[in-house]
Amino acid sequence: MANTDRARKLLVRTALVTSTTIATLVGAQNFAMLDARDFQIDTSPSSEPNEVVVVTPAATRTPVAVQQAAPGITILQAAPSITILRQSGQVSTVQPVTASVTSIQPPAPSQITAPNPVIIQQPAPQRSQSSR
Amino acid sequence: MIHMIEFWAMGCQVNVQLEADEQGADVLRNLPQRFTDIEATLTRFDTDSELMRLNERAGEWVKVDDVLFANIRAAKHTALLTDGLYNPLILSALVGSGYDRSFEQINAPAVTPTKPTPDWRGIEFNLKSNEVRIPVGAALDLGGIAKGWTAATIADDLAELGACLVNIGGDMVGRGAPGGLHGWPVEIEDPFMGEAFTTIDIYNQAISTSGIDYRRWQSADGTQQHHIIDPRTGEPAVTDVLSATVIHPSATTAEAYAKAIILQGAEHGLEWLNQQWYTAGLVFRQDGAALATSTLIHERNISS
Repeated sequence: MANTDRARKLLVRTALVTSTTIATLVGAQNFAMLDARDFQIDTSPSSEPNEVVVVTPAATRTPVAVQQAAPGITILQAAPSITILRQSGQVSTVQPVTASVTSIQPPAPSQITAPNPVIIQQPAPQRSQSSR
Repeated sequence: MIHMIEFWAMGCQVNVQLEADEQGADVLRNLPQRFTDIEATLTRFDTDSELMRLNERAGEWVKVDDVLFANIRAAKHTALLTDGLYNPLILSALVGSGYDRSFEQINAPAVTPTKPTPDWRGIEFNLKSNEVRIPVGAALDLGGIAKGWTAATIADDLAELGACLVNIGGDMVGRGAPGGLHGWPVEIEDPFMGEAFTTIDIYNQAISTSGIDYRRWQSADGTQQHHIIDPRTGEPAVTDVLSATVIHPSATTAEAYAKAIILQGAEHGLEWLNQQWYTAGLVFRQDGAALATSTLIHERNISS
């Protein structure tokens, strides 16, 4: 009698464990199938506008360590300026000397001879003036 | 020893000095012919010159020789540097003012109204074929640029023999320095006194003076005319500057800067010059005042 009860209890427990295990496996498989369906890409055309994600520069900015400040500039001299060497009115401006000269005439053809170089001991100072 | 030669070319008195041995004399003896050849290419007073043949074909691509090509390129470059205050396309305005022949032959010419000066940006080059095209209706006058270019070219060649100074009518290029000196002594003329206002040393630099104190004339209607044309108006410049002198490593740039100062007026022109590289300037105003950039005062030891 006692052996019969023990066998029945064992059978019931085994059945419970087996059914629970089967239920767990079936449930897990269902969840796996649900997950797989969610990750499928829908390539069909959609009438809904695509969502555009705007990435702001701030979001992509990479912090950069400042290694050095702007190159140092040493001011050796003040900004150039204008210097007055002679005030107005210090010379007669009625008629500049050179303006009274109408022109420097070129040499007449009969006076032209092939110019020859000469030797000088010191540079002959030249004068910069309006072209003539 | 220093060899020196003087002759007349490009409408100016030319003086060339060269510190060299005996062969220097032979080199200088050949210079007048070289000047003649350059002038024959660049003059606007000969309708057969290559320059004038190009002007006659404005709007077309024209193949030109190396001398003319280099001068037109220099002219366009200086127009760029001065933002068009120097404009090589002023020939029509210059002729309209009466300067239609060599200066010494001008005699009370009639003045004709001129059209606006064409845009210098319209000058085009084909570097591979040496071709140039200028805008339709435009005509080039290389004037001072041609003198500056010639002085620099001759000086560069002579410098292989020794220190030299090339002076074309008052515009000069110095290369090296004669023995024992810091440079070639050059006087800047005071246009009111007709004598040297100051003397500076030119060492590997150019000096150019431009002004309305010379090359001016009276037209048939009695108005005073001069050769500094304002490209913005097409007429002789209205300015308070009598003459402007500029020192710069480049002769063509010095020439263009001097004209740019005249067109801008004394103070504004010198302030503008102060903003340019490697340059110094001196201006005589028509009221007698003399002004200079501080760079000229400090670097040249000129007492103010």
